[in-house]
Amino acid sequence: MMKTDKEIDEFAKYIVKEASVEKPSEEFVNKVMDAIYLENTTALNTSFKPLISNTSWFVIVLIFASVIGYLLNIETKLPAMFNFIDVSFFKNIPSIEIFSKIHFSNTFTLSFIVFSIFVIFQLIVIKNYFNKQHHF
Amino acid sequence: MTGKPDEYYIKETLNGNVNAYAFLVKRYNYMVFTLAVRIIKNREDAEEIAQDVFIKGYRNLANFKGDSKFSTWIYKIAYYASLDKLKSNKRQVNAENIDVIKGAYLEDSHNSDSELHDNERKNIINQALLKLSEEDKVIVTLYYFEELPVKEIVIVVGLSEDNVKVKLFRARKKLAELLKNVIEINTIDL
Repeated sequence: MMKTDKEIDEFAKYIVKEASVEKPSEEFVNKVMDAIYLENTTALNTSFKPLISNTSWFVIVLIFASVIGYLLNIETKLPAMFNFIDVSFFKNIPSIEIFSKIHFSNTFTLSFIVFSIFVIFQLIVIKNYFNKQHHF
Repeated sequence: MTGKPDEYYIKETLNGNVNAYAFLVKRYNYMVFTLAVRIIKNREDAEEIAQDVFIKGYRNLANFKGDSKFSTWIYKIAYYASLDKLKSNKRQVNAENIDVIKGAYLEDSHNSDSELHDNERKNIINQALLKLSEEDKVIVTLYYFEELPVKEIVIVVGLSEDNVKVKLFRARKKLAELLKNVIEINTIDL
């Protein structure tokens, strides 16, 4: 008959040690590691590569900036150091006036700006969400 | 298995050596599976959960700060994953279901009387353990088998230290009560 808490404590220890641990299947470790390898491989294969590389972006920005610069400063004189470049052909390009005929109301402009902001915001949020899901 | 500390394998895994994680899986798979099977009471489900636990552990290894032992951390994941499975499991198995416990021992059972007797005794003890509540099973297993200090068990089950001690006291009393007529105290070497 067990009376003291110490006896019960020792008894419980014996019982639990006697019960031992349960053994999973022999393939358990392999199954876990296979799942991890598979996950790593999938993660590598689905790693997101930007459609436009940094170099391409640089070139695009450069071209875009040049065009903008040309449109804005067509009349301004180029610095002396660029005198050797013949830019007269630019002046032969007919001026672009297609946008001057289009008028947008203030409401439309405002809605368009707000909509664009929301789209960009959602893109950032969704991208972060999927990134987090992917990496845990 | 080599005797290198968990921290070594954790660092190796984080440095990209995925194989190092296998050592951690080998080291703790029995206990993680035991906790799962004692809570879920179904070996198939428990094995699935135990696998998920290690996969989840791998994914979140970078978040393991080393505030507790790795074992405590992985047991905590196992404990909550098993409780979740239990909740979602509609076909909850009766606590008396012998299938839970016989699997581990039947394969070892030869015709020797003493071994048969040992297996029977283990089955009876396991059945008694299954009659404890989920929390109590985990607390008792970690305290008496794994010999985890109460402070580490507190982290696993998310209870206060006093609460764990009270549960431990009640659980061992209940175990003793359940088994007093089956296993005589004088038959064991205390």
